[in-house]
Amino acid sequence: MSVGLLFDSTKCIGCGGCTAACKEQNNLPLPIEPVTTAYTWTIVEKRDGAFVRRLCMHCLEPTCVSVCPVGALQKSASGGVVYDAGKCIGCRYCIMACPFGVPKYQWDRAIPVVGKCVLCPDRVKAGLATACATVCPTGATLFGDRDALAREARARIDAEPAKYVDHVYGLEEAGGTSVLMLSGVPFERLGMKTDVPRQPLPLLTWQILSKVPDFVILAGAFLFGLHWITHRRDEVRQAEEDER
Amino acid sequence: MRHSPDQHSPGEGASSDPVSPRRTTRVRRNILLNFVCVVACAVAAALGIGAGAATLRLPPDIAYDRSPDSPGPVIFSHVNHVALAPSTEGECTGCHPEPFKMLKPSRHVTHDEMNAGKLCGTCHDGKTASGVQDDCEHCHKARSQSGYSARTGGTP
Repeated sequence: MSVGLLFDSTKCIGCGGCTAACKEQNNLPLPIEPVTTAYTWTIVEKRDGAFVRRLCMHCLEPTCVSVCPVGALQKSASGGVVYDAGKCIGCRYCIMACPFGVPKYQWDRAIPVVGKCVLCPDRVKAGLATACATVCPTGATLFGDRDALAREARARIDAEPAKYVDHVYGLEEAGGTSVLMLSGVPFERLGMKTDVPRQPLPLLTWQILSKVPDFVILAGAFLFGLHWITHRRDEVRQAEEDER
Repeated sequence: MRHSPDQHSPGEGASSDPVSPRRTTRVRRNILLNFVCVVACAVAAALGIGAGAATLRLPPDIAYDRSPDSPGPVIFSHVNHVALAPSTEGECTGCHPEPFKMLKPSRHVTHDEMNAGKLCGTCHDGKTASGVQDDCEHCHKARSQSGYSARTGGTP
């Protein structure tokens, strides 16, 4: 089962409970900053009269995971994109690669690492909901099986089409994300990126990288062939000279 | 909405009335103020402050640990604090994660800590909100219900 979150912007009152619980769960230092940072992994922003959460979308096929040269970022079996600060070398490639601009860097530290929502792996492993979903007083953030949440999101839109934008954000963005969002105003007005490609972004590089082994074998065979031919010519020439 | 001075206003019109002494004016003013307060509370509750709190999935009332010399149990109500406390502005972040943990809350609060400006004392300092030493019954609710004051002679 792959878990995820469903955030319904129409239910959010902007109380910031999710932010506070996240700080507590992940032992992140105060204060609560107005934007996401390496120490504030989720915030609630007011845009266009509606509240929207900023957090890692937990892509089904995460770009950050595909680009991390040391495997510090991994997509866990349960659904979250988890991060091992012990492996991180601080290259910041994940920050550049993320289509949603999620990972943040500890710019204030001499040996910085990256900070981002990791979908509470310890709580999920213990069978609990994420901290943010646990404390949400309006049910705006729901935790559960990603497929069930996708069905719930669609059902909410179908039940009240006038209330919602007819789009479940995260169902297809970047090939699908574990965090899904519903809104009553267009998502671009909530500051959500709507030009994110629909296919998984690691595919872009995978199309090239997957051909590297073939290329190496073919190029190797070709070069060996060239070498064999020129070497054979030299041998023949040498043999002919010896005969004379 | 404006009232005619001779009916409700505690101002010039009422005080210049030769029949009503000054004291009657004060009583009238108090009655009017009380009435306005009651109406304001009712309107606020109907419009959303109370209704909003009622629809929120807030944690149930919290009973804090009771020390042997406690004048009565302290019951904390999220509903009251979210809806009425101006310092929280309806936001969880006014009290969470500091001074109160959300996920693993402590049920142990001492007056020493509160006097040092921690826990309840963060807001209940006598300025932002009523002080923790002001009135025992303000927090130790069960005192009057259990007849505690009769047993102890009303010592705070």
